[in-house]
Amino acid sequence: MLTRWNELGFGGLDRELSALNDLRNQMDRLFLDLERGWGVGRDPRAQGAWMGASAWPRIALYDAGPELRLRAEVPGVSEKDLDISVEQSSLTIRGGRTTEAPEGYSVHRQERGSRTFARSFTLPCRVDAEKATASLKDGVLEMVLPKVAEERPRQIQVKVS
Amino acid sequence: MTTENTSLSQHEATSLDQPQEAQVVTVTPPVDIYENQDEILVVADFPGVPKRALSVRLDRSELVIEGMQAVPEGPTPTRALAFSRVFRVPKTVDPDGVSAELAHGVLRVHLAKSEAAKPKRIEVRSS
Repeated sequence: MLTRWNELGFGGLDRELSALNDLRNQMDRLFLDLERGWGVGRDPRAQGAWMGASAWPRIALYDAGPELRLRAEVPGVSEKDLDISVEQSSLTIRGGRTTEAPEGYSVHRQERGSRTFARSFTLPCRVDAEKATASLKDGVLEMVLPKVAEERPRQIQVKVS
Repeated sequence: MTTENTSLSQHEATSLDQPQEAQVVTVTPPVDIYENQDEILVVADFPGVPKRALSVRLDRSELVIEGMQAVPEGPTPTRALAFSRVFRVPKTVDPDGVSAELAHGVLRVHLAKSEAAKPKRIEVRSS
């Protein structure tokens, strides 16, 4: 296999950069896991926001005051391959993608992989599922889940007597 | 000695005065590499990277793909990621024959092979 790569001229990539790249990948992920999954990042809002950091896709669910917001990085997943449902205070996202070699092409390297996923979240408060929105742009799913009225933060006026 | 001390304190002052830059996390995107008779195809995951924040360049024999995620507005715990990866490409690639497309957060770079590198079909003549 190695000889074949060399003959095809991508030898430089595989011989020299492969090991380095793999290591770098692992390190990157490790640091990201730390930073996002465990809340070591400088931004206190980041704490615990990225869940299951080694899982795919990377998903962040956070409280933005009157609504909950979700951001999932799903490159290569089209909207018809996504299935999102909200039931009571539980949110489920299912999806997948296939990454097969295009016809007539030989494979040098496959790191992306086909994926299927199903992730469920217990939401920290009740949301109005009717008003929830989801949009997909540049391979990122953004969801806005408005809280039901009684769950929204309220300003309390202090009266001076 | 005095000179050294001065330069040291100046150096410290400079480093302290400079505003702390927002830390960007650079990651290596996973890629697939395919090849057929006409081209080499590089496919990479670039989620959240708009076209304007994407850079694909062929520098001599190195293909460099880079992209920066767009940060969503408003309060958010997400920090933008920078994607970066470098490949050495064979000389058979035509420098003018590189094209790229971005869809659903996936970048596809087509590296066309030069005519000389494409396999030639040889007709066998019967006498």
